[in-house]
Amino acid sequence: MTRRRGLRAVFAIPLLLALASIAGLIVALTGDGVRDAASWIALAIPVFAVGWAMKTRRT
Amino acid sequence: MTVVGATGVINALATPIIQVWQMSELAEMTRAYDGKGAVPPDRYGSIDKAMASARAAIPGNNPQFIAFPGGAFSSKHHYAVFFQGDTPLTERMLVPALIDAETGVFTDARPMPWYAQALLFSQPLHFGDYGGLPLKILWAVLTLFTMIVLGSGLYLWLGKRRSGTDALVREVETGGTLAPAE
Repeated sequence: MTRRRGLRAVFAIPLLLALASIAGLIVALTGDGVRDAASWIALAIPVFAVGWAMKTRRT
Repeated sequence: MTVVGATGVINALATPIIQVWQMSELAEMTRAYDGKGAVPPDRYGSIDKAMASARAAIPGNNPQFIAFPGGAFSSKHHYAVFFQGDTPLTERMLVPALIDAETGVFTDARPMPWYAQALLFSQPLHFGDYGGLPLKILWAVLTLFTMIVLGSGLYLWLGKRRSGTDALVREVETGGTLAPAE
């Protein structure tokens, strides 16, 4: 069951998730109000990604 | 998780970082006092006077805490009044103002060096205790995921150690009828 996908393709979305989380964490440090709200959205992305991955389980 | 790990390392370096600050920056700011002995507690001047001098030197900012002489955050002869910045970002970038402990006269004030600033930023990033309740909730959810990954990984790894890979191969080949021996 080997699927030939390059390393880059495999890690593309995880890398985006990581960047979104780090950006969210840092933005919340820089201000209050709307910046906090932006960081909540950014940090919700990995949480939803995990939820989605658990729903669409592929054997 | 990476952020927590990296900031954990920085936080663990807190004591050396403060000590380096003491030896380098603090020493520069108080060069005029080199060689004098420590001020004995009964000769400490008034804190109110020290605070007033500090506020005159750094107007407008909020003081966060005052370090007494002889501790980790000040020299042996000074009160160090640490001021927060006035924007949410600079709130965590403390600027210490050194006041002579005996006379209440302002000595020097300058922002802390980059490694000390890194330490001040590592604290909220490590504990996730900022940014309002939604951020703390999201942080808790992500922590929960991390715990589940760790727990299930441990469970799988221990199970594999007991029955070995051959048993797993047998289970797959026989379509699941031969479960791995416990």
